[in-house]
Amino acid sequence: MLTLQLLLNGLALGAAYALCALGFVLILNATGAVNFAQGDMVTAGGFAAVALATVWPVPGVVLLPAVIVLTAVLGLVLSAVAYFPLKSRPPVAVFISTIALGIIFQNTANVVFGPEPRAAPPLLGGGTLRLGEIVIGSQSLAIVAVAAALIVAQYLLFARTQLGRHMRATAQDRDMAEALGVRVNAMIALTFALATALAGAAGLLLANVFFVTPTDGMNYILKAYIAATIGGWGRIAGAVLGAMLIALFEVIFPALPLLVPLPAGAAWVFSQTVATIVLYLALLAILFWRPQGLLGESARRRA
Amino acid sequence: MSIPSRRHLPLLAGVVALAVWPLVFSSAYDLRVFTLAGIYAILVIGYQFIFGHAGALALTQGAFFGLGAYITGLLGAKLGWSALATLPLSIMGPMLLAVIIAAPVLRLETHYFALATLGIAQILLLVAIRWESVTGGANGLPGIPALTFLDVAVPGGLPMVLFVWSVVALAGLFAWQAMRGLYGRAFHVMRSNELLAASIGIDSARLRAVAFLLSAGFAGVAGALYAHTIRVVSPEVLEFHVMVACLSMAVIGGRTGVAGAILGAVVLVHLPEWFRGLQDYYLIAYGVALLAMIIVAPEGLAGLLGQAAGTTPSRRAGRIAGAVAPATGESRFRAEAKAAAPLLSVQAIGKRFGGIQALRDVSFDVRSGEIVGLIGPNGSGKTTLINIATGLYAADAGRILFDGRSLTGMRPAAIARLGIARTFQAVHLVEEMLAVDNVAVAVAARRPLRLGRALTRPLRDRAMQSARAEALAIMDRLGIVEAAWHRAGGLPHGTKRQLEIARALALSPQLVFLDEPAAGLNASEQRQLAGQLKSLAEGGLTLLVVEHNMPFLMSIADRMVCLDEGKRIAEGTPSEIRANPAVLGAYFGAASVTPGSRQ
Amino acid sequence: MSTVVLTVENAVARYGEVVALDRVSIEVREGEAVALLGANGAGKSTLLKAIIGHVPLTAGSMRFAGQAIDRLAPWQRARRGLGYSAEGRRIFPAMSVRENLEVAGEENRAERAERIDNVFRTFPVLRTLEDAPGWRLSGGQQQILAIGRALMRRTRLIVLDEPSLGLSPALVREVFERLGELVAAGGAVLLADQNAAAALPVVQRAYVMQTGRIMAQGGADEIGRSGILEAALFG
Repeated sequence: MLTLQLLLNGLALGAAYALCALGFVLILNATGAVNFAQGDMVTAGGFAAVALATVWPVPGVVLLPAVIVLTAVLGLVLSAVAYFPLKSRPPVAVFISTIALGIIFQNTANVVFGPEPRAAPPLLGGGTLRLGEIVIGSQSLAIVAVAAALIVAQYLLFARTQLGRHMRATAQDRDMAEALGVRVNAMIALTFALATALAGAAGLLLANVFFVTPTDGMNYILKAYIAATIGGWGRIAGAVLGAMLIALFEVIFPALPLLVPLPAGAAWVFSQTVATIVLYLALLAILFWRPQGLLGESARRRA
Repeated sequence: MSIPSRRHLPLLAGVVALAVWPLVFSSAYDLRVFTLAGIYAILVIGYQFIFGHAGALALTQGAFFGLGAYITGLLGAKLGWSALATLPLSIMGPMLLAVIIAAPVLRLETHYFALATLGIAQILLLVAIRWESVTGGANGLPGIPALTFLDVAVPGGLPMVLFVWSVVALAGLFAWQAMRGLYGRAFHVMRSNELLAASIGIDSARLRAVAFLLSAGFAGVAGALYAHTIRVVSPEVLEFHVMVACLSMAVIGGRTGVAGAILGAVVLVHLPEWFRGLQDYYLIAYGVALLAMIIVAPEGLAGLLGQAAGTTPSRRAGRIAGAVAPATGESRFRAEAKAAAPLLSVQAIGKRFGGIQALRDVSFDVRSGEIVGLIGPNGSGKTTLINIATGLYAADAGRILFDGRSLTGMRPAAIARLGIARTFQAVHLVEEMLAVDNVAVAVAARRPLRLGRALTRPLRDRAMQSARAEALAIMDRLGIVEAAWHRAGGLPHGTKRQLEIARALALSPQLVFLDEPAAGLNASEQRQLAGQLKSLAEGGLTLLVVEHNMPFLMSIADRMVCLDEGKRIAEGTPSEIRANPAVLGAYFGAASVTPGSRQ
Repeated sequence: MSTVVLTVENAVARYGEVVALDRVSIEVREGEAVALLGANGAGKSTLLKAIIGHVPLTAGSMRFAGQAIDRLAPWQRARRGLGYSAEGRRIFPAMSVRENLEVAGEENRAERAERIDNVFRTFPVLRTLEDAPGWRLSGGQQQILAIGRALMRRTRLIVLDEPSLGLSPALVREVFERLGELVAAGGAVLLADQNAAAALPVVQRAYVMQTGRIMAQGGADEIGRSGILEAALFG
């Protein structure tokens, strides 16, 4: 039962990481640049939910559309300030400009909301679900469900709509897409909006169980960055999978002593911190042995 | 710096301002802030090696800083060691870490490199938090002694300011000395175009590794001084915001010059003081400043001040040009009269890219002193062949012999040093660098570039002078010596193309590959170039020329080789090639379009 | 005489200081196929890129379908009926054949479906490959798809850059047969190809370019027989 709850927690955290990583990869594919402020967009979603809930105390699900719209607008601003002016410069310039935007964002949040952790309202009323013998928190289930719905929605947008095809074509070959009638700059701006909206949604999902503080962004961007790397640079499905693996590992590793009998002296190893260290070491090992990622880089890159 | 020129105006102004500052604002608090500014300046001067000169977005500088601080903290507070021992160890620790991670990390592409370095930094941070028995965990290590050398303590306040800023001066002198000459220009070539760097024999991997080690060492110094100043070390020194501060200082101050590092550090450390009225908002201003600088002034404050002071390199032209020695080093492209053995022998070369057979079974020889034209329609494999011969690609089949020696498996820089130079289809010059230095770097790169040599150059840098003299001689031979003291980027197209040839000649090669040398030249420039190439060949140089401009090529080539769809379809003198229907067929499809042929 | 669909007048284009197009003037009429011939480096590709909007003109003017297009973005030109098949095909590798067509189509779903149907009728091979990802197609299939993609709007003129490049002789023949059918059906075509032997039979007129200038023009037969191509190559 404990295992199941842990698994569910891991999935919930992973689902939120996945939304963030998904957006990270969308921007990466559309622009070739790392959006280092992607983690801060998660935080932005969390704070947006906190702020909205103070004026309108309703369950998180109701706030979700508003949070998505707000963070999408933030994404448009992000592209206008930190991407388009640097479009023709090396990608490192965008990396640094998004770091700068992250600083601005974190400190604005710090001024407005203060450094203490804040909690957004739960997605649904809260409480637990009973399945026969098994009791599980409904919040985790709801997080997984909402994230899955958003991922599916993103997939459908890209696979089934003309807008999505235009966005994909822009990412695959910008000049060719433009010559075929695609408004590529609008598509890039929209990609930013979509990517940050996904991160913002993740922020709302996490901000009840895990709270939100202004400096959380660093953790999220690192996880998204690592997820994109182990999942194969530029691969959407790989990044989602990578995010899930990272979160499950993070949740289960510290709990191992509770699940399997271990010698007493070894217990200290199984802490959150050690889990993170192991994660980074794994990342370095992957970069060392397979610089193209676990699943290989996306087919987009051509010789 | 015997004569302070206008170029050094920002530096001088900075030095004067710095000297006056502590006398005017001399409260204990101000002195401490000023000490911190100096410590950050050292950190940033170090960071400029890897981020500015090598052009790699390393995110380890904060970690190296923190490691240096912890080494001083641990050995000083726990074991009571003196700074005489802890300072060198604080430098060596980060450098050792850099050595360990350099090999696997420095070969990664930009985004992976940034992530890997960030990951390493995070591991250090987590270890510092977690390993409480040694590091004191989140509370850190208190009680670090003041800086003491052989029982002579450097007390806080003005003495510490003076000490730290003396170290800044030393660090700045070191960085300036290392980078002011050809060594620094080699870095400039590498960061602007690695392909080009390899083609003139610059070993980029080595330069990058040296820069990484220097960055680590300087960060260690800064970390140690920080520990002695704050007297406590906690995991905060390893947090990402230290790295962000360092990056911001380098971007805002300037990525390469010492003045930029100092300016960036002083400005950003004082920013919270100047904006104290704004309370928490100063950090927002910090982000805005970083963003604004990267968009508006990628050269940083130092670059802006430099522009304001009106430093145009051409002003210095006359002075140095006058000091130039007569043409030296007629180099090694003499006719060796080894007519029997070919200088270059291409033997059954094959190369596939995915589903496309770019080259198959291509063989031909080039003899010493010959001009051979390599022709063929788009996509026929000409440039691929040059890229294989210069080591950029590995062939799938066959081999290429140069002077009887196989080039298989050799790296581009090594091939360049053997005496094979090349030019590129598109202009590859370091635009911001003087034309003469674009060539002089190639002269210098004939010998492996070493930091030690750069550091021991006297003020009058004779190596630089003789490299420039040789570069001028080569440029003179090509008739472009008047362009020498202008920025390469501002030159007319024809001059740029000749400058590239001059750079190739600076390697004193036996063989030069020219990839479309006549592209974009007008008729008279073409005639001039043709004459120059012929006279180079008469002097014993061997040329393999890829060119679409047939009248140009046929006027200079002894022989021509035609490729089509990766195969050699014709070889012969220009008139034989002209009469060969297969050549016209390769360019325009089946031979039926030619007037002479009938079906 | 049929109406002029594209006019380029005294076009000048530069890459930095290098003059890539030197006062080039051409025109293409409705129902006409025109070839741009010349060795590589002659400026054919640059001229096509200027027409679709990827290379700006520094002087001269262009009119397409009765309107000046000099100031329009590439996507606006495409939406006015300028179809483009690029050198190297540039099929979107991670999209299926059908998606490659759809992405180039009109916003209206029904109209798009109808056009895809049309393309499939013209090029039946594409229907059999409908769901195959772009990267898996052979060079010849990619070229057919690129042509089909250029026909996805109410195309007034289709511009093709090196459609025969990298294809085997049999595929070149096939691609040009398809192009010939398009021309026969009344479409206006402007194509740049090094393979004059394959291109000339399907066009009515040709321009021969050399170092950024038009050095000759005339009927296809005339150009093929005159030896002018040899002169364009060897000077």
